[in-house]
Amino acid sequence: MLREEQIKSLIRQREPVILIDTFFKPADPEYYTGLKILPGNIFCREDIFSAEGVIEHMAQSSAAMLGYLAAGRNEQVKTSYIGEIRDFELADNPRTGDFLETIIEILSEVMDIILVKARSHIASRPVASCKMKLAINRNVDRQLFYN
Amino acid sequence: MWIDNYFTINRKSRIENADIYDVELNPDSEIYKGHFPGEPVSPGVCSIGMIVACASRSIGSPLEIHKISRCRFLSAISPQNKPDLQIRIELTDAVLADKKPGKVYQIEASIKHKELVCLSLKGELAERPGEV
Repeated sequence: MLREEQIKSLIRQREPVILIDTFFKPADPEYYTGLKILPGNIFCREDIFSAEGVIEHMAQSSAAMLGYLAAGRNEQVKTSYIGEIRDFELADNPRTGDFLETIIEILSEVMDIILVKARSHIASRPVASCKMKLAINRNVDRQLFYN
Repeated sequence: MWIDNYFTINRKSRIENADIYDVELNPDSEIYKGHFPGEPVSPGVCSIGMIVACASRSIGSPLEIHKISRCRFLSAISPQNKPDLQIRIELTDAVLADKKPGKVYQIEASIKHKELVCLSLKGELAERPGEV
């Protein structure tokens, strides 16, 4: 399990934007991350963690997974970009004090384009799920991306 | 909340069924300290947040993302290369939805820089407690 400082070796985001604090031992093709939502988090409105925060947490969870895989191949950790979000549904907002957990599952991987499914929950309570396409290289072929 | 000083709405107009907001990104937002150091790129979720903020203003009550059926990020936005943006918001009438205490609106939105479409979004926004 990796914690705060070690996570910085997996992702390129830095404070105040970092939205994962735990990267659990993965069980391929699933990867597990977590975030304790603290008061003052910039993605909170009062004590409610926003949908935007949940989506960014999912994106960073995917980025951490890609960073972990790159490190395993002795490659440099690259910036990844969200290219598309599909079928996002928010069941319930997390609140400050909650520990948000996310499961990232790789659905497909073509060239520099990764399609993942993200599911977030707090204990056994579902928070949100979506499918997300990420581009590792910002200049990926648009045709390839949206077809 | 992060969105408060992230951008400024300079002008609102209406064309047919859509509200058009001319907005300007704030390059001093603390978001860019971490996204990414030395390489300011607007987080995709901040673009979604701007759409929600504009839609909330159109309705006159605070909204939040409930569903996104599809959101495409077509061109990266940053306060350096695309500081002035045009946000187009089209909302349908409210319906009452399952499991939600307030009203839910269908939304279709896009963000453009000049003629370049940077983002398109289709989904549902739900009323939330609080202020616009």
